[in-house]
Amino acid sequence: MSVHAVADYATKLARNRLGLWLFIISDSFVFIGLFITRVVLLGPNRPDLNQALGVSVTAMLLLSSFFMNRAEVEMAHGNRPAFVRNTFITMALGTLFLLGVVGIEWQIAPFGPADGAQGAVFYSMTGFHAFHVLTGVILLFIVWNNGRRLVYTSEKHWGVEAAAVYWHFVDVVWMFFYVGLYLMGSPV
Amino acid sequence: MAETTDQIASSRRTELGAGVWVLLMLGVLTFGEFLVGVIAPPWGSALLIVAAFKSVFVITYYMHIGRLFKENKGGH
Repeated sequence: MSVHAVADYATKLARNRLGLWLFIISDSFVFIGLFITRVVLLGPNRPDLNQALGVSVTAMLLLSSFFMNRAEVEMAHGNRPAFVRNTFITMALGTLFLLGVVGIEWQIAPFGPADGAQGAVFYSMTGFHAFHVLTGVILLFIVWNNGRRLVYTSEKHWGVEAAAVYWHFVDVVWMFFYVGLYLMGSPV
Repeated sequence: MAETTDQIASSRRTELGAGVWVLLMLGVLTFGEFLVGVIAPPWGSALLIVAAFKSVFVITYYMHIGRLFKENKGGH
């Protein structure tokens, strides 16, 4: 790349990063609102949920963040096969998380979405978060497919960085939701 | 100045190593949260501090928030 092309790309990259972080900050306000709703409506109580399942899906999301970080590092160093492999593992763990929350926890929870504040809080928090996980998995699939088609290079892979930051954001949100739904207060 | 192959390999190892270290920290803290939440539910609210601590690790080392404040000289 010429000096001008590098400078142009660097400027564009800086703007992209700022835009992505502004989006993440604005999106986090919705999650903060949901968490405050939980604190106000449930107070010192928490839904009686399956603890083993809760910690398992949390572990899956933490592990997925680890593999996403590896994928990004590998792409930054031009190791495309490792990028493709790590992104695939991230997607698989994200899908397992979705199955754990929506496919299992939603089915075995001793209350439904219409069963008072507890149901409303639990299903809106996990539902909104699961929607973000789903969009994250779709983003990762696009990035994974682009990686296989040699779209990214070690110098130019903004798509990978953006998908990674978004994925880690979803992980950070769950760190608080896990405490709010599974650990805070006494189970009722 | 172009990086040598050794420098690139070394920076890759450092970055991957940091990722492992962060995962271990997150794992230990999450297991601690789980134990406190199950054994002593009234202390659950204090776990928000642990969650905040964990999120700082992810935001710093995985989301690389520092890149926002650096002068960009190319890169990704």
